[in-house]
Amino acid sequence: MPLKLLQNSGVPIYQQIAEQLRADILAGKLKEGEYLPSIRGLAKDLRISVITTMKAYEQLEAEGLVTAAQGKGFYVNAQDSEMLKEQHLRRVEEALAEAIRAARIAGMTGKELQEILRTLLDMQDEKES
Amino acid sequence: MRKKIKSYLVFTSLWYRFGVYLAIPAVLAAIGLLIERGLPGGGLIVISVLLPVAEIISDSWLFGGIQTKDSMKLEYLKTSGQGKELIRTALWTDLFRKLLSAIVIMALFSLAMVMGKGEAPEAAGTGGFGSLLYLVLLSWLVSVLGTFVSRYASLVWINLIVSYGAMVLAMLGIFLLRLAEHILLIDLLFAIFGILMSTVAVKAAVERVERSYHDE
Amino acid sequence: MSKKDVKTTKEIQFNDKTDRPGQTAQMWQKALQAWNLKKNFKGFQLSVPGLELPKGFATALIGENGAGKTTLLNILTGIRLDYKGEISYFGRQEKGIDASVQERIGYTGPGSYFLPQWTIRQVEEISELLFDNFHKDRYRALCEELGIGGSGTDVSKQVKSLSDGNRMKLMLAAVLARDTSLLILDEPASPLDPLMRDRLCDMIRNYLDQGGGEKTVFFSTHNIADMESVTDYAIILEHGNIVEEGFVEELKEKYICVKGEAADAERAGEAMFSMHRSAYGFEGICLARNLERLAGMDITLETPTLSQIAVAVMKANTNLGKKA
Repeated sequence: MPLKLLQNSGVPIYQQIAEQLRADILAGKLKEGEYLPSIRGLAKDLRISVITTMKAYEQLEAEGLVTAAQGKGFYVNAQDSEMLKEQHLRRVEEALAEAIRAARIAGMTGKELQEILRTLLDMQDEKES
Repeated sequence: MRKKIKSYLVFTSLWYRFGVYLAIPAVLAAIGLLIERGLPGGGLIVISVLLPVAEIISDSWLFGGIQTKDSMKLEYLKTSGQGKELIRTALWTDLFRKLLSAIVIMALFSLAMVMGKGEAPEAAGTGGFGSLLYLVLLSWLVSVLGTFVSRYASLVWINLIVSYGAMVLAMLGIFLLRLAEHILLIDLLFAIFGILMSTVAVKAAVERVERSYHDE
Repeated sequence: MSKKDVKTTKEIQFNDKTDRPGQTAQMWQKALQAWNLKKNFKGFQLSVPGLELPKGFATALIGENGAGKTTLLNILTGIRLDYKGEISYFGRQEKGIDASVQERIGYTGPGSYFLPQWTIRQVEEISELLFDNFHKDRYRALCEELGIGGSGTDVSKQVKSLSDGNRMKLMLAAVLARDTSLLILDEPASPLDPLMRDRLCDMIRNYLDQGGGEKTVFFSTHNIADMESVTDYAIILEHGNIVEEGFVEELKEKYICVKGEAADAERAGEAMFSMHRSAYGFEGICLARNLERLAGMDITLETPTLSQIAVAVMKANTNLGKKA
């Protein structure tokens, strides 16, 4: 399970860990019932604090991707298709929310934003066809 | 026993060991022999007077200043529940070692005299058993007393001054020997007084350690 | 800030913890708890109404020189017994320190620690006498690993001839050669070079990992940036009082690093926790709950480092420059 952390990317370390583990879980690389590395073991290997690792795991737990077992660590939950969809939907929402924030700063209206989205979609369709 | 010796040895440096077990006995024996040539019977007496001087001065590299306010900030010892006991053991073993040194050095010197001259102990100028024991105990007692006093300071030159005082005291004790009739009784008194003095010295140092846990 | 103010901030924090039974609250088992710790010096009082070290984590004690860090650590280690208050170790019913507790604590400090004439080998001998859980082999391996004594180097080297850095390494070797449950390290990073500080962090993480949640580390430091990657919980001490504490990730949500335009500096200053302004703009730390007061300004937000948070908190509480 390779994990790459960027110290100065502006994205908090715990989020980077959570994102990469989430991707691995959603892609099925981490299978149902499989245990994540121990919190302190991962902290040691990644050379980060225990609390940072713990926060990443807790985020995954809050998303329903993993479950904490008393004294044994965190294991991967069964990923039903409904939940997968939910996860993907959430990521889309997050990305769009970010776009909206950027648009606000640029002083764009909702309409202009929709325009951009449509153009981008068209461009993507053209590329794929 | 092994633990007692180890507890003591951890406080002694290699130089201290070299000095106390080799250099001091060798130098004292040499001086003793030299005196013996000009003044038969004087060698042992001179040794008994000089040994406390050596012990008191060398103590400044062992427990020098242990009874002063600034001492025993040895945090490593204090982080262990066994630290205080270790110091107490080391202090006792040291005083016992000082007695042992006096016995070994003076007994061996006497033996050498007796064998070298091929005469009876009295005639060889060592006196009888009682007076040998007297000199040993006197030497030890003065060592303990001087060590105790000098540990209230952590400066070598103070040990030096105290050792001069000890020397005078030891010489006074030797005059007493010339007057004494019941030598074995005095030996016994010296032994008791030496043990009492040692107890006081150990107690003083341990109390200082205890106080170091508190502010003054 | 008066003492009363300090107390109220602390109460708020405790309420925060109970108000928010978050994930971290579950882990809130304590390696050590203390109540109403007090120690008076001339013109200085250490006063800690409540102290808790989360078990299984590394806690940093941060504060100015003279804030009382060493005094606090000495009290917890049992080398200073002249204090008021109660301490419970490892969840024990009986309060206070005894030999069995000391056996489980490893302490390194900047004061006179070893006897100057002790050699590296003698430190081993005395450690065996002092602690039943001292492992000679581990000590030797550590000494060799850290480049102080062991094959190739001289084990008859005396403590007084060691550099400050090597003396620190020797203390670490002696302490890590034991099976302990709590490490209390007073300024371990200060005498070490950057490479060794990195190594120190690894050693702390290793210790926590070996304990599997049962081993705890408490260290004081001025080198916050160097130690941040190993700090789980932070306690900031200023003139004898705890002025801020919390899990680092929570502190990073409580405080936000803000950068903005010079024109807004005046107005922002009222809402900011601490701020530095120049002709080009302002930057500083803002409490997250006050962030809305900066609405409408052109600002950039950033997650602060622990070092930034600590400096801001220390600035807000320092006596420095205020006494005159």
